[in-house]
Amino acid sequence: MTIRHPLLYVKSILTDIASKDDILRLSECLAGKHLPAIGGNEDPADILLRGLSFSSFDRDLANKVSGLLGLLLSAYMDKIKANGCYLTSGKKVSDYQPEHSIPMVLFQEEDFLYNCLVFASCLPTNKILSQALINFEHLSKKEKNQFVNWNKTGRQLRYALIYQQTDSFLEEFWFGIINSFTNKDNNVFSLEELADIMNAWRGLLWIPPSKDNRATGNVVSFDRIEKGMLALHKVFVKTENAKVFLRKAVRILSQAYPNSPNFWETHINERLVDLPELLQKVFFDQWPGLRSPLNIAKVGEDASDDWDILQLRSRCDIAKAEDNKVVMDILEAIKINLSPTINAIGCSKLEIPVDDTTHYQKAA
Amino acid sequence: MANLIFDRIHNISHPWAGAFAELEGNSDSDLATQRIVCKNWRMDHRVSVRREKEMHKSKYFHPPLNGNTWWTSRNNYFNNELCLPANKSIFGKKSAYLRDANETNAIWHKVASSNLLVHVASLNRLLKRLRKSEYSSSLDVCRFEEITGYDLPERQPGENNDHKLNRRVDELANGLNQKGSATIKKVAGLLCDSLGEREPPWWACFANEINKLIDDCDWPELCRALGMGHIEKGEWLIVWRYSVSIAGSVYRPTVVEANDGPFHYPSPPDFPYGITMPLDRNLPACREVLHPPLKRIFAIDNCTGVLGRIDNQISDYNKIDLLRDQHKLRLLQEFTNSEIQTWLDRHT
Repeated sequence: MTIRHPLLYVKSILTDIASKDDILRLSECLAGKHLPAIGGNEDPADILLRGLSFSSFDRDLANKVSGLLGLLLSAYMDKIKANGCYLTSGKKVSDYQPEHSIPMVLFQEEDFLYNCLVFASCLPTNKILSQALINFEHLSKKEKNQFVNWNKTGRQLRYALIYQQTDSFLEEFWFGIINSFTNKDNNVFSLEELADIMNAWRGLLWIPPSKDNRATGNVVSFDRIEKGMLALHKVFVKTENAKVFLRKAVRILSQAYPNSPNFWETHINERLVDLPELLQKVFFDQWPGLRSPLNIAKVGEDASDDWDILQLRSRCDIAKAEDNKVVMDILEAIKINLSPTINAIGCSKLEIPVDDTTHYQKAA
Repeated sequence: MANLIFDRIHNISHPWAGAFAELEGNSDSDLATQRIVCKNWRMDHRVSVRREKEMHKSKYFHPPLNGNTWWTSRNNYFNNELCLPANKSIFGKKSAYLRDANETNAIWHKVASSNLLVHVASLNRLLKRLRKSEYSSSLDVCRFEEITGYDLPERQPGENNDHKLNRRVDELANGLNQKGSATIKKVAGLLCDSLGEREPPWWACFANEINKLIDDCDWPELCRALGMGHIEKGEWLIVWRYSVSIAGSVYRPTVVEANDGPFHYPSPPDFPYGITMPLDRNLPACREVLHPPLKRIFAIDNCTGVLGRIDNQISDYNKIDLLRDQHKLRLLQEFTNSEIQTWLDRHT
């Protein structure tokens, strides 16, 4: 008798569920039933996810299962609405009407809901699933003590919401969370608060592009990113660890859209001068290429090679700069290193006294 | 054998009798590991009558139970009754293995406090656990990044997150090994503290039985000797070595704490410790115990400060039955009293 690898077996269960649209069996698996013993104390959702990824991630299967999970959670929500009761209200099975084939005994268990949410967090997006999660969020707002363990299940709902967004419906919700921490009394953030803020930031980053933007390849919304970073700046600016927290936010950004440094440098450069100095610094830390127009030492090494870049970027920077320091940095670079080059290419109008920044801005 | 549960004869009306019969009656070869877990629950004399009663009273084993619901109940019981702190705290109760009902397995008074224990964990699994939502408020990611110079990969939907995490852990672990043991110890402390009060109890073996494999950095053999068949190729091990006095409340483990581990095998009657089932017949079995997880300075100071990668496959699920047969012979050779033969015969 040959035993398949337990995770291969799990994959076959999911394939079977998908081929038969078997929501009941999916719900049972998420409750831990039908699963082989694999050791390591893993949650049912994690075992299912490992099965889905065993050998290689099966995207078609994942899409199908995501839709089924959406139907499962929608049915769950319908049942809760119909009965006017909540997960932790201690209702007995007999309190539920047997109008649906999914046994409601599963739904009384928060462990089960938690597993549904873990699963939802890692599956491809699906509209029905997304809507079901939004309904849960509305419900949990109405009933604040809905979850026995908010830290576990409530936070997992947020996670699922982040990664199951199919439109920009939740944008204000995420901004609302971040903004609620602005002007915090003591400017000290607990790990819980930081987690909530960063998850809201993730929520903003995972809003998918509109149809039009997708068609034109504009997947990253720089307006939203800028607005979000400014909101985060406002929240953290007075804290001792502001730079650390903002740097973390930028790293989350860079992982959400794994583009080349050049991509970020190109797109952020033009917005940089409008950002507060602290935000500029954290962007510089993440993408040092952003420094190139202002980096005196680098410019000095091979001034003639960098001149074209300097000319383009520095003029743009100077034209937009409200902060004289930016202008002064550029002027200093030119004064120290580039005067010969400037003369050589005949840009004499750039040779202006370093203390006259207004004049310089006009010239640029 | 069919009417034994926890090595005690029960009649057909035992609340779990039907569930066990159903699970064992399933001939699906892919569910063989479930049947092994059932077999272990039948033969494990270490779960006392008192503890069994406490389990029946808990909401997780509420009858009626069929095979599937018992399987779920076992997992929920583990998560909600065992993954608890050593002392009553905000949860209002302590971990089930530390309660009076399990006092027959308390062995700290039998072990010299200067004895050294070894606990081995998978760095990959610790990080995977810590990336879950419930730990987002306990893991100080900024501190983690400050110590390691690495950030944890963002969890992303629609892709194989385990592969992505494992690749990142490769980078992280190589980087940490270069930084040295002091950094690894700091990370160990941070991870243990972040896992908080709901970390499962630690399994540990006696250091003198395993020191050579640790000193030789033979990580796959270390896993095999400890029966850690769930560990997979590509995972990194992190190791703690500490005295029994630091471990505190030391207990003999049971199948209840082994949860869904198919590579577990109960230790013989009257033997005060657990015994690992090695995944290679040539490796010696190790005595093992259970105790509350180390935290804070203890988790830092007692980490060995070395990370080891598993470069080859540890286990083969097709060989579990063979391993169990070999382990039986090993036990019979090591323990010559007739009680063991009788115990094994009862469960053949």
